[in-house]
Amino acid sequence: MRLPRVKPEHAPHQLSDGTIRLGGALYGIASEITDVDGWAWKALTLMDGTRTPAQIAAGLCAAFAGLTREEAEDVVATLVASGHVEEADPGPCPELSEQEKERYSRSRDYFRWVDLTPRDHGWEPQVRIKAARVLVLGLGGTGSHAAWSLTAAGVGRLHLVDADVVELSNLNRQLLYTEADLGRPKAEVALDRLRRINSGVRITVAASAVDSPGELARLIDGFDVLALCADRPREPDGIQSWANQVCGGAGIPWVTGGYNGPLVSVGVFGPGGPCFECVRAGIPPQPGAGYAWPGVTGASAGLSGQLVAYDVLALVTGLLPTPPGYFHGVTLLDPDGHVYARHPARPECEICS
Amino acid sequence: MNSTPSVEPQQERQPGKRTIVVRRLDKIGPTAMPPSQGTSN
Repeated sequence: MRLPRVKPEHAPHQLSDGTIRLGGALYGIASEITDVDGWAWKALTLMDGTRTPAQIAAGLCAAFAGLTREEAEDVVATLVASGHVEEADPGPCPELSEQEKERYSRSRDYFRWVDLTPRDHGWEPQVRIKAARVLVLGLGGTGSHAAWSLTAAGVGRLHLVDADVVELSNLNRQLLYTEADLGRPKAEVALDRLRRINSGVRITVAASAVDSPGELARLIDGFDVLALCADRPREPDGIQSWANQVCGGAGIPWVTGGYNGPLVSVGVFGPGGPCFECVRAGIPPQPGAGYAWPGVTGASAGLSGQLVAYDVLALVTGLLPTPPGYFHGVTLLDPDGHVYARHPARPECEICS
Repeated sequence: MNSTPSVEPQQERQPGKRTIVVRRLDKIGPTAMPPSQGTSN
């Protein structure tokens, strides 16, 4: 890093006992430093984007007589590696136009905030999103929200697949469709809406159903991630099993989401973690849990789709908080009951063991 | 759920080498922004 600067969202604060807090109070971001000698506070003060690491180290040595140059450089390197510091003069980012930088400025700010990997410039996550190719299966409650979110985020290439037409009962939750669209293929309507939302995304659609693992394998060829938002054919041995088989075999990460009344859950799978079948095998069967009742609200469908989209973006930007291979989500009737399930790979599994 | 943040155990300095240790905040459960800071929408 040439000119390190403390990220604005991570501004340091001194607690009453002298401890330094960086990154506010959010778990997953914030850190503390026990700053007995005052080195860290001084270094952070010098990290205003006008000095090189060597100049900051020299400033530390000038301020603390007993501090060696090697120790000062180590303090600076530790802070740079912490993720609370960014490059103040990142230079141009030719992969994005000025218009794209304005459109995605809030995304850049978000990723700068949560991304604790030191980067050459703050646009790196957005560049990765622009380069991503995502296949979305299903444009219903989950898929319409996921497709909107991925389009708005600036994913470079989207292919959307759904065989259904718009029905009146879809309109309580499927945000891409209007009363004027009743009877029209969802894929066709979605293409029109999404292109108007973001003309910079290359979007194609297919108004067809995925009827076999072979068809899924044909569709996923050339894509980086699958967003599985379809629920037919039903499990067991349905579309999620096909995705596990096809994506697991090809080493392609995939995300699946859905809702069961107030329970919204999303699964993230891919290389480096247990596969869908292994995680599912570890979840004890629940009496009465086998039927998918149709009740759903815009909120539960939206959460499902937006979480799918977020995990797709986390995969392509490298910001997934843990290796893939888990379900997570929320239960709307139990605010303190966050959903999380991860189980180890079964030794006999041909996909992930 | 705890109401105050906690941190991972502090690492001791190695003898002969003086540096700083950055400790990630330990998990304290779902964190809501205090009212003074608010949220955006």
